[in-house]
Amino acid sequence: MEEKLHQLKNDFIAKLSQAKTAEEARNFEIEFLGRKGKLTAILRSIAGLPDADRPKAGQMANTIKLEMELAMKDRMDAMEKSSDTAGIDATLPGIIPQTGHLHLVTQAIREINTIFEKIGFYTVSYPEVEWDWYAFESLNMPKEHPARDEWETFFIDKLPVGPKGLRILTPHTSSGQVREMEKKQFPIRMINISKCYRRQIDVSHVPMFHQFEGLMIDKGVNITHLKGVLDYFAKSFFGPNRVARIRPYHFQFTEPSFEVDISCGVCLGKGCNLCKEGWLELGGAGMVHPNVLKAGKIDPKKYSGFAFGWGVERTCMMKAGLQLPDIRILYQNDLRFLQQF
Amino acid sequence: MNISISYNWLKEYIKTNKSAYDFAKTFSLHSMTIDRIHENKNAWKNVITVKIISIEKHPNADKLRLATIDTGKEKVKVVCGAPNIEAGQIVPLVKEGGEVVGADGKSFIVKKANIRGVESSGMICSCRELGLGDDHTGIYILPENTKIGELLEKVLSPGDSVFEIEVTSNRPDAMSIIGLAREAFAVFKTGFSYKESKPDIKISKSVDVKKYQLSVKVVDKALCPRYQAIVMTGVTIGPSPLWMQSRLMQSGIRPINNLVDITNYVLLEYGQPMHVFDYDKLEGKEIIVRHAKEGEKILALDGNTYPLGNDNLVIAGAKLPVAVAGVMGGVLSAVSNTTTTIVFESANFNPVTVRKTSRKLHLMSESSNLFEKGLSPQGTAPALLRAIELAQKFAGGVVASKIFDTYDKKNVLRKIKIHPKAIENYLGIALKVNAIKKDLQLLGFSVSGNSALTVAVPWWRQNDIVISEDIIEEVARIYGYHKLPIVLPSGEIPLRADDKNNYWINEYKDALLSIGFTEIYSYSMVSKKILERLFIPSDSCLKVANPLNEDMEYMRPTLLSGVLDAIALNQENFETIKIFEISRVYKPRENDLPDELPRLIGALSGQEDLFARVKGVIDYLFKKYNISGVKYLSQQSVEESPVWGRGLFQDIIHNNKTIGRFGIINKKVLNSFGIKKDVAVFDMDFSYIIKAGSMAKTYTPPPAFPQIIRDLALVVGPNVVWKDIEESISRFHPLVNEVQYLSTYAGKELDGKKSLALRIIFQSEERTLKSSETDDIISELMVKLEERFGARLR
Repeated sequence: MEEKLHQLKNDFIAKLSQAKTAEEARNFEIEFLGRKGKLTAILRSIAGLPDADRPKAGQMANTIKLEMELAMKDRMDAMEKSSDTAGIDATLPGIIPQTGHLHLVTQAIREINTIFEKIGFYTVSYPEVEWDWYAFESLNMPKEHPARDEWETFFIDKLPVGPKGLRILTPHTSSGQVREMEKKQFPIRMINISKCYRRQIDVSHVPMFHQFEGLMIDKGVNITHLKGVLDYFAKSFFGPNRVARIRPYHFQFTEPSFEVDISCGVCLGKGCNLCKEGWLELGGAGMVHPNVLKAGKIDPKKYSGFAFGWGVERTCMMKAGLQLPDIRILYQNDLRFLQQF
Repeated sequence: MNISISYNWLKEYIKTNKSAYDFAKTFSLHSMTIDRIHENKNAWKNVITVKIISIEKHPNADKLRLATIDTGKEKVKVVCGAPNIEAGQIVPLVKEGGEVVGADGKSFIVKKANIRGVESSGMICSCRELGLGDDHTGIYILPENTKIGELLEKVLSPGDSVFEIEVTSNRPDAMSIIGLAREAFAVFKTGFSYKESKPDIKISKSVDVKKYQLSVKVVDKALCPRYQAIVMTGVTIGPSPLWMQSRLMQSGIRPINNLVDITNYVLLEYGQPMHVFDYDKLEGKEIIVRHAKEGEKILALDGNTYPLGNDNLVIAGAKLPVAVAGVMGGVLSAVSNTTTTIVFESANFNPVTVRKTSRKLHLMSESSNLFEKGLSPQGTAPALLRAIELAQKFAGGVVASKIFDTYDKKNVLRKIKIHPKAIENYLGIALKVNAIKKDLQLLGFSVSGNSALTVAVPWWRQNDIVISEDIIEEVARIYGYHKLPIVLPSGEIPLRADDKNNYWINEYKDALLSIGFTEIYSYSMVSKKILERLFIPSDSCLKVANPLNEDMEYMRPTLLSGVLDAIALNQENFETIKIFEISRVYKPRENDLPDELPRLIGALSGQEDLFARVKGVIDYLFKKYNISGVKYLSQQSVEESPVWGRGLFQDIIHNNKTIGRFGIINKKVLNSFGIKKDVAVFDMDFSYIIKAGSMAKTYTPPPAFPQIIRDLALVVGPNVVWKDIEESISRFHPLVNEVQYLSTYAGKELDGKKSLALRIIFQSEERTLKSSETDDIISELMVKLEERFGARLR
């Protein structure tokens, strides 16, 4: 009897170890430990033993049964553990959770805002449909001024509808300058990011685009401060090894006026075929023209300031090193494009 | 405006040994930007000057001719298609192995070719084929006395470079060789050698003055502050010298004949447009500067006829206009091969008039480009003298009249006072007074004083130097902006709490991003057709007076078309679409700026249970931003809301204010956008949400005692709504803490009824509940639910 029981246990463990699946193991469990299984048959035979042998055999059988049950449990546990990897094609692609995507322009705007926030600039928002006064006249561009031709402006009106003239779609964020000055809160350190509109559409122009405008007005602001802010921006946005420089240019609403360049990220200023002699054009800047300060009811003898501003889309492309063959793709809302970012 | 000029030409007026590259690099940092340098050095390979000896017809082709040419060494035959060649002409020949620019702008190598059975030894070319400007109307004919057998570059401009310079619009004085040389003088501080021309302007004794009478009259002096003219006779029309032609071509101007070339040469050199008339063709020997009469027309030198009106200024003879003032001359009085007597015009026109005329006629020229920037009346005299000098030299002309001049203004130079301290305030560093003075003097300013400076502005800068800041700019750029220190501003950091927009825009965008929405940006302008599709009358929208096209005529009153367009575009490529936009819509106001109202719109498509999903999104947003007490109200009036599906949308109400709407879009509307699947949309007043929302954090302690959960399946009639069931259960007993909806089932065995699966959570704040307690509550609850809704357990 004793031998039989041990033999049964060993058989069971041997078979269990060969079981490849939990189902196979369970089948062995039924074969050995089931109601009609082999152990049950032996247990039944214990009843036929002499009285003296029965208690010992019974005890023995129970021990063996327990051992077999433990063996079963261990085997099942082991199989469960290994099933984390076994039976799986681990080379199948992962199931990616559904993710959202922010538009490239939003991503750029956030980055720009964050950079200027650190040096004390606050954000504002102003009308997109704007008076001629704020977009042109107050910016030292009287009616008929040829500089107005540089903006391909959309008009709402053909004739002036009020003291501030025509309504137009603002062609630049500079229209926020005098509006900010009118708040009469100093010092001014404003960042104005807004939609702008110009009558142009081709592979490198969209009729609706975004600009950002920085305006700082305080006592004793000079060109070196503008250079400081531009250089800080260049380094923060494009990388610590980049530098900004300013060159002479002309805008009606700044005097002096500058063109802002940033050192090329590929050749780092040595000159390569991606840049102009080591520099890439970023946009315009200048010291606020006294006539603009006066239009904003600020005394140019007390306060001075600088302004800078340029296209968000272009700046963003320059940073990402993206060469979009057709910029219109930004506003076509093709998810195959938008979901790449 | 970009201008192209020869570096060699510039060097006639400014002494420098710098390479073109070094010159450009430094010049750009202090003055105008030199965008590009075109090296002229190796422009041609195997191109020589040859003489055409004879021309015969090509034996096998009607349109081709066969020219026999003398290369100086031998005589060869060349096939040619251009009509303008004649025997005796000297032309450039591109020999075998030379390069030619094809019609597509790409270069190709000339090979010995057999053209329709005749061997052609090379190619005679147009200017464009030689890479000399844009003219391709005929073969480039060289002047008669050109040596043959020479390399073309040797004859034209050896070792030159062409600068492409962006001259800013405030500086027409620098849109010329002299002007740029003067800038270079201030930058490099070496030899500026410009001197006014001093030709002999005495009327030649050989000339019978009576034969060359002229009257010059300006009707509107405001529009033509100065008109100078002179008659010259005895001129011989012919090609201008090669170097002159070459320089014109380098600047993109086509050589015509010596006299026209001289006017263009002076325009480039002095920045003063000029014109030349054939004296004999001037009606009545009169020049009248007047407004055009309505209905007048002019055949301009570009070959087009332009209708004129009263707001156009013209130069006229006794009756007819002969030129559009400052824009372009007319064919009627143009010089031709037979011209012997000419009138040179050197005049000043009002910039606004020239600009308006040029825009109205869609006619631009080098001349109008300069005039519309505003030129000084004093610029006419030196230019006229230079033209007389060149005409005497290169056209054999002699002076036959006095210089007519209508100018009667006294020239008072503007004086500006400036203190070096003011310059320091702008630059952040102090410059030496002597250095300031010197730089200004190099630019042509006269400066007096030693501390407070008085700066007299030269006549050519009267338009752009007006205030002391203009002087500061001059001083600063000549010193070099790149040399100034870089300083981050210190000083007070302003704190403004009033622009919360950005904060909330970021919050909502992130919230939607986190639940899988993609952000779109669509144009603010929409078409009339789009408005019609959305049942919006176009006269209630803000219209653009000069739209780019029909698709962008109105400022959008809703963001809906943007998301629907996007779904239509993407439906083929994406099973599920979840998109949103935060942007402004525009509501017109009479004679005032429109209201620009920010809105948040989102759209879902390609999923089951769209209505519940879109409702879930807004529930999620309101919960996240602590906007409580929002109610949804069903709107049944389809007439008022035809874009929404009947009974498939609800208004979003907060504090009795409708702040938005959500639901399923009407099928017909979807069809009109070409959308095939259902679309759910939420559209909300974003500025209201910003005001109502808060990021306040509240805290509820987690319950101290365990909760008991009971799931029920209630069979109710089809018209019983969840909200009523939910309220009944919630209010039934204080121990009911929450009622959650699980699912709805409506199988055949339910006989038209539906089964609502729900979960009741029992919770006490004071003790651990017993299972039996909740069983009792449910039994009582069922009695009530059966009573109210006929509900039974499934």
